[in-house]
Amino acid sequence: MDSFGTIAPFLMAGVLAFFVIKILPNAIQMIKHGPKGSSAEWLNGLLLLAAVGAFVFFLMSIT
Amino acid sequence: MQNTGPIVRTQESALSTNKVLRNTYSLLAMTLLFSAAMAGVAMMFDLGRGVGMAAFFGAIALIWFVLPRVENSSAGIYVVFAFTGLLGLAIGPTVEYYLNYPNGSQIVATAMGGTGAIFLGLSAYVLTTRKDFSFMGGFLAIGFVVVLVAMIANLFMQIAALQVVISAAVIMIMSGFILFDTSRIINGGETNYLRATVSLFLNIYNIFHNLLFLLGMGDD
Repeated sequence: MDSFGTIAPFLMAGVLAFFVIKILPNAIQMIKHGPKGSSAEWLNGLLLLAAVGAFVFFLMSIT
Repeated sequence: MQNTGPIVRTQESALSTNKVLRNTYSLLAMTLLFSAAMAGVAMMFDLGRGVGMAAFFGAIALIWFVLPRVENSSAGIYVVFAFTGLLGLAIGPTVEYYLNYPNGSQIVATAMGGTGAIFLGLSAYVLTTRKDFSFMGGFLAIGFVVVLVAMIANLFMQIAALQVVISAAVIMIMSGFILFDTSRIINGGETNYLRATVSLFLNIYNIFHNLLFLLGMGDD
């Protein structure tokens, strides 16, 4: 493995760890103080995401 | 004398929301084209993964450290173009890698079409129903943090099955963020079209990148 191949995962890991450090406090804040959805709203949102999942599965099956 | 204050304010709010939406989609279309052109440049000059990674780090630096300082000025537009151009350069070598597969052009075209269909479908749903998906923000952000931790772990473990799960999760989370971001724009939660453009661009970029991986893994 070349030197770039050795150092690249560590560089990327550092950037991703920085992402986690920046995002995590906001994420916790949003969970604690953000708007709460009703069960009907959650069902609606999750159905849309399930439709996306089914579409991706369909694309994988035809490619 | 009639009291028309609330009606006028409501109209002003609706006009302002429409303006943000129009500006966001206009800038998003231009930045997507610019990013695609820069990906083409990266492929034409055969830029390696080192340049791609440097461009990615440059884009991250712009979005974290520069954009927050200029997002309310006209200079912000140049930063958004620089950010999306660098991400285009960063994804160029990846697209070229998949294009070298036997059915590479089909994989890339399907990933592009699939990404477009997901974005247009979810955006059209939110714009038509005008439903508020702001309640999903915390769930999506925590989900994204979990995925980031899994990505860090998999950089060193290199488990193919985990990478498939991560890519699928990123597509679902970014799809959720399309609902969240679009509903924030139309409900007045986001009034800065530069921030809105960057958010939607990142959603599309991440969906395309991970869809490319999922569609290409059969031939890998």
